[in-house]
Amino acid sequence: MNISIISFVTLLILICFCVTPKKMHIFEIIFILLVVWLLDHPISWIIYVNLSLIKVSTNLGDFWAEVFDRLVLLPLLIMVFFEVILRSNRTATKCIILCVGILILVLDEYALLKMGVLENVNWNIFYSLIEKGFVVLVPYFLWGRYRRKIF
Amino acid sequence: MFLYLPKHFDQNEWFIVIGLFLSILLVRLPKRIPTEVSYLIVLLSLAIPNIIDHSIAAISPYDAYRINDSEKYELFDVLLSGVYVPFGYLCVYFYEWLRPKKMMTVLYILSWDLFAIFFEFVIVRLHVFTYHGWSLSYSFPTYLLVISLFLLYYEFLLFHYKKKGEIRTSL
Repeated sequence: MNISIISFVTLLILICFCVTPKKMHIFEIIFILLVVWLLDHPISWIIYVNLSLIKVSTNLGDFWAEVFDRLVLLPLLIMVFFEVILRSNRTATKCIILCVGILILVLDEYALLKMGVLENVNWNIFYSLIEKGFVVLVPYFLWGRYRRKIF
Repeated sequence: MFLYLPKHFDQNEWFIVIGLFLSILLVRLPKRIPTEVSYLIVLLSLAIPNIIDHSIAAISPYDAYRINDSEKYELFDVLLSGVYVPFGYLCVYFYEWLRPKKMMTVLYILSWDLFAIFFEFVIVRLHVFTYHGWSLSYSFPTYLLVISLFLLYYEFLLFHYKKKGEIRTSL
């Protein structure tokens, strides 16, 4: 059930992202995807294994739902936020989009906890904000540098 | 603890240090791949092993193999990612240099596959990986798939790079 919900939401967002005209170059999209993967995996590894703040469900369906969320949904959402940022000229709007983006990712994690895909051991919203803030802001600054390089 | 330090600084840690040193030497190679494409090649070389290690070894119920000294995420697990960079980069670098055609491409992929198997055999011997449910025979088709997709990814990037150049010159 959980994997169906997550894959449905992910594919819906993916289809919307694919069909809308984009300001980002394909290289930027791949760059963001890879940087998010590179940051998110070690961080979640530390949170799940070293700090034991969250546990991943041992149920295979839930495990793959979590993998799908981390591999596809999370980078996809971040790409959508960055694409929206490209369409705005004002710094204040960009900051608001980044903050809303972080909140949406926190909400996604909260949904996973509520669905039982992740199990809360000693997790709270502040940890979640720090983690998601890091996962959004670091790719944002690196993407800015990469963008200047390719254009 | 946030990141664990190795229990003993022995052969697996030394291997990672030497591997990292070789990775740094890559920047001395003559440039054959466009810079923006090189970034994406290096990033994918870092990301793929990270995802695989994370998904089938670290947190998964499969627990296929252990990386380095413990089940925990160690400093040398982070550094190990850097050891994979020369593998991915050189695979594409020599591909660009030799530009194999038709059956030679198959031969090229197969030789990298064999090299990868040999490389994995060495790192298993050095206790960088300790298999639980994994076997070296599983790696053979895995590398074949990964190397083929990697070269396909490079061709895809190159296609878009050339397209971008054409747009620039036409403007």
